[in-house]
Amino acid sequence: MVTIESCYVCIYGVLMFTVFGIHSSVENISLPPDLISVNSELSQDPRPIVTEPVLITSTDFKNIVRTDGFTRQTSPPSNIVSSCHAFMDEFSEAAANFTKCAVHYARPIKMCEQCYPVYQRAIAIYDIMMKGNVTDGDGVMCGETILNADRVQIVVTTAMFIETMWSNSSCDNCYMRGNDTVVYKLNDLTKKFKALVENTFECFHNSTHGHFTPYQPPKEVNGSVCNDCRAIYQDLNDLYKNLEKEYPKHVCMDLVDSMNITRLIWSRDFRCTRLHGNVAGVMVLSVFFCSLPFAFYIGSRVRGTAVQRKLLKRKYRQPPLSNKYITK
Amino acid sequence: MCPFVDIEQITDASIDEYVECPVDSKLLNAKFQSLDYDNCENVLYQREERQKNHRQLLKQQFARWVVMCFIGIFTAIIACSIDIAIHRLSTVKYSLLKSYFDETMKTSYLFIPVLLWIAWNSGFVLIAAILVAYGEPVAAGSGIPQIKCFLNGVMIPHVVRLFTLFCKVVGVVLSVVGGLAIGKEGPMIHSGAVVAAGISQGRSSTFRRDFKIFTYFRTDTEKRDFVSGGAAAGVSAAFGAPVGGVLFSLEEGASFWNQALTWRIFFASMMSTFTLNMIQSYIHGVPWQLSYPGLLNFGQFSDISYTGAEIPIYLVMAVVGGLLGALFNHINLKLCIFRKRHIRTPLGQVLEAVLVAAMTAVAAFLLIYFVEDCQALGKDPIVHPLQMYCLDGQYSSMAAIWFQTPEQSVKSLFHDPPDSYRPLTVALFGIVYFLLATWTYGLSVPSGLFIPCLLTGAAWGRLIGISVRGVFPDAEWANPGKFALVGAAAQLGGVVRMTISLTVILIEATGSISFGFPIMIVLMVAKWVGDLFNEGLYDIHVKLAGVPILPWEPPHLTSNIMASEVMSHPVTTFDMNETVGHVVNVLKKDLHEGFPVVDHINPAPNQPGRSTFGLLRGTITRSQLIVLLKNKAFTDPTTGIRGSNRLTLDHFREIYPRFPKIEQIHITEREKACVINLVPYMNPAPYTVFDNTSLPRIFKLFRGLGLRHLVVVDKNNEVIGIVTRKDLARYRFESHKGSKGLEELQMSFN
Repeated sequence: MVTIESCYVCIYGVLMFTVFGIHSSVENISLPPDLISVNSELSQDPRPIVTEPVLITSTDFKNIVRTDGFTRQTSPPSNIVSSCHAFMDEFSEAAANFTKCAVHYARPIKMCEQCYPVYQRAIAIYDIMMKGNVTDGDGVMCGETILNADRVQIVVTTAMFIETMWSNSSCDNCYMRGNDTVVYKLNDLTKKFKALVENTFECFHNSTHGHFTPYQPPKEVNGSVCNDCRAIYQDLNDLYKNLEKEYPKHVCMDLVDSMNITRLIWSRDFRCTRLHGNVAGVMVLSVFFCSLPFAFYIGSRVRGTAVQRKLLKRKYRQPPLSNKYITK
Repeated sequence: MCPFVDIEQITDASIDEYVECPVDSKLLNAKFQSLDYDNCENVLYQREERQKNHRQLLKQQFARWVVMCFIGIFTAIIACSIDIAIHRLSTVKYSLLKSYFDETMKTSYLFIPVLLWIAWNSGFVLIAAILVAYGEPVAAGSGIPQIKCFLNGVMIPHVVRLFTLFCKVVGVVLSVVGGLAIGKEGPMIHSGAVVAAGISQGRSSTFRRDFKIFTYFRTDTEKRDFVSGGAAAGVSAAFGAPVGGVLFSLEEGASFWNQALTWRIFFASMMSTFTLNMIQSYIHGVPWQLSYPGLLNFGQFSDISYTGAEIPIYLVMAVVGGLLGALFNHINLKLCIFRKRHIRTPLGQVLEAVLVAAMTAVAAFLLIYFVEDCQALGKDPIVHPLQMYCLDGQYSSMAAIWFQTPEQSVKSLFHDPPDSYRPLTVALFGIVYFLLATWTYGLSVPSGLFIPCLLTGAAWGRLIGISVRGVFPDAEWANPGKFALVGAAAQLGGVVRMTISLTVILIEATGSISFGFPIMIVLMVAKWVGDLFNEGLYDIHVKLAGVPILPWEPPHLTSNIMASEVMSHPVTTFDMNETVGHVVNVLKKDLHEGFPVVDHINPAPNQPGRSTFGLLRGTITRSQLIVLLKNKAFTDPTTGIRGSNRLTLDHFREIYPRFPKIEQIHITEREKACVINLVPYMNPAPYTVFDNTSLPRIFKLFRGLGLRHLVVVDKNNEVIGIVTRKDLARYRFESHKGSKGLEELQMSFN
């Protein structure tokens, strides 16, 4: 797989603008091929059901724009404006790619693993655009042009959507951590877990004599699967417990989902979860404990004589009200 | 009712002759003394006042603010410690139980975790109950009734001692971790009050340490002001509700109120919330993010939306809350009367607490065992998901409610997504928790009442919410969490019958000002409905203890009762110059706390046909006399030698508030012949009323000025009687078997 340092795009962007300055146009902004076409290399999903996702590339996007008759490649004045627009174009494409990727890998969730490059690219472009030293022709920062223009703030909202989706899924926890950044390499736990899931599914597959394909579990169950795969299923659960310890409440969503699916297959489809629970023992225990309060209260009622109060008579000149209630 | 027995003289020896009468809430306990919120402006006081200058006044004023500041800070620190301790210990508890349950579900040893659960609960509650039953009985319960009495002007022994604080704090942590159906909020409020009393007095009698600071605050009046600040800081720390804290002090406590004090109390409250939020922000890992929404006590209702059309539903819920609250109070009252009659030994109290703790575990387990409500893991933020009989990858949502502290359960019911609980789950949980909570309150452990009520209410509120959602599946407003909040408010309002402070506390703790109106309406209606049947639970417990508390208003139908009926009649008086021997004898024989000082008149008083006791010159209290005797402030009439140097107010402050008993003062035979001149020490201008003053008028004087004794004089300013708090508190307008009427309570010694 292609490794992209997270600030790669950043450096690239800054360089680009120092080199090309304001003369850059849409044509000039072409990100390196590995950034654009990274998607095709990523898809190692074994699923035969769906065809590969076709992600929109930079060139596609420009074509779409052009067919709309919307071009911005003319002379200097508009060219100046376009440096911001160029970035927005790039961002729009990246965001579209991310959305497409995310939805495509939504069920079962594989977003974290599959969409990292597109996510990274979208965020990188956004960062340069907003925080980088990018200006339009009048020397106004792009960030300001985008932020101070309207109240809908489409660009910002879109970026937030991407960020929220990513962080809600705790996707970064699938990846290795550099000093301060996330490195685009699945971490060891994740790799191990993925491998174990594969193995589990393989076990399911083998012991059901090929009747099992993940995500389309069989209707009728062969009883041997429970015994055959119990060990590996248990290992998987134990590993997941480790994951939960490592990232409390923030296990990478891909893994959470595959665990959930595996568990459902195991207990709902294969009916392998057998829970006993000693009903008799529990009942005896409960009856015993429930009888204790009765014993206690009846006992204290019988044993302890009701303590009487000693009344004190204060002296008054006139006799007090009658001790009976004075009803209206 | 028991017959009266006429006793000529009240002496310790004669107590045994009294008629005995079963315990119930219609007796006043004679052991409670009043606090004196009226400054005694005697000669010593005037002398000191002359020496004061502007700088001293400024210093004193500044010291008030400093003390309030520290009250806020320390209260919050204590509250945080309670919070953290409970959180840590319960995390250990529930992880341990969860791992045992997970292990044994696959085998046939399910009874092991059940026994472990029972043992854990009983063990922790055992220690808590021992601390309270054998250590400091006044630390039992929520502490709010006691603080209420203190602020009302009744001295509850030991209520603001450091040892009480210790028992309360440790006890409440242990009992919450022990799984009882209680909260930690009431004890936090009590803690705030103890902190306030401790700091403002600049010493601790538990540790016998006197820091010699803030000596000028050693009077009942100043102490009361600080304690109301402490109570406010406690509320504020417990719920993160500074305004609610101030209003709580106003509503429940302070009978005496002014603008400057309110401002200072608000300061203490704010300091408390600020300190709390600061510490919490560190715990949540967002240091100094003081607006972090996770700091809100019951979690933020961010997307709460309500329309006017819902208000009828809320009104119905309020009525339900009022009815359930009245039922709660009724059951608890009957139970507590039983406890007072039959479970009187500390051992019995400890046993009962342990029993309830064990039964709580059993009840929780049975519910988890029988109610099958499985939810997919990962949907809700469950900390200790327990699988029980659910499929792999699912958890039992009944177990999820139980496997956390009650406070977190309230949060879950408020905020968990709409489909997290099946109706049966919340219904059964609500019923069982209601019964457990009624059973638990009044045990000999520190126990807050707020959280169990909120939790019960949240359960049935959520049930209604789920039903409403079933009827209007597409309605945006049909959010079960919101109905849980309304149910919680209704239930709590129905039980404690607090009004304005509760409304504000709930608004602040959930951060939803726009929802203030429904909360207020609900609390109002719940109180009205509940009041048809009985009183708020705090008042019930105050009365059960026989505390002579004075309510806001004089009882109805008393305008025709005159001072001459209310007052205690034969009055023990002192002359302005009394022999030591006589003073000691009177103090030993007489149980009264205040004595008029009189001039003798002719014909001699208290002769047949004349029932006055001399011309009123002032009043003096038992504690003052004891200080005089202790410091030997008398002169030998034969030699004219003074027993000691001139006393100052500092001599009185030194012993305040624990004056020794008369038996502890050693007086030699020779000293008994000496003479005390009471004039410099007595209150020269006591409040008096004529014998034809009506009861409501006397009541208002007591209530408004915080009096302890009120001398009744005739038209010649001759003493004919004395009115104390107990003489007033014995008149009560009560309902009895449906009919309401004025009733006169009797007094008892135990």
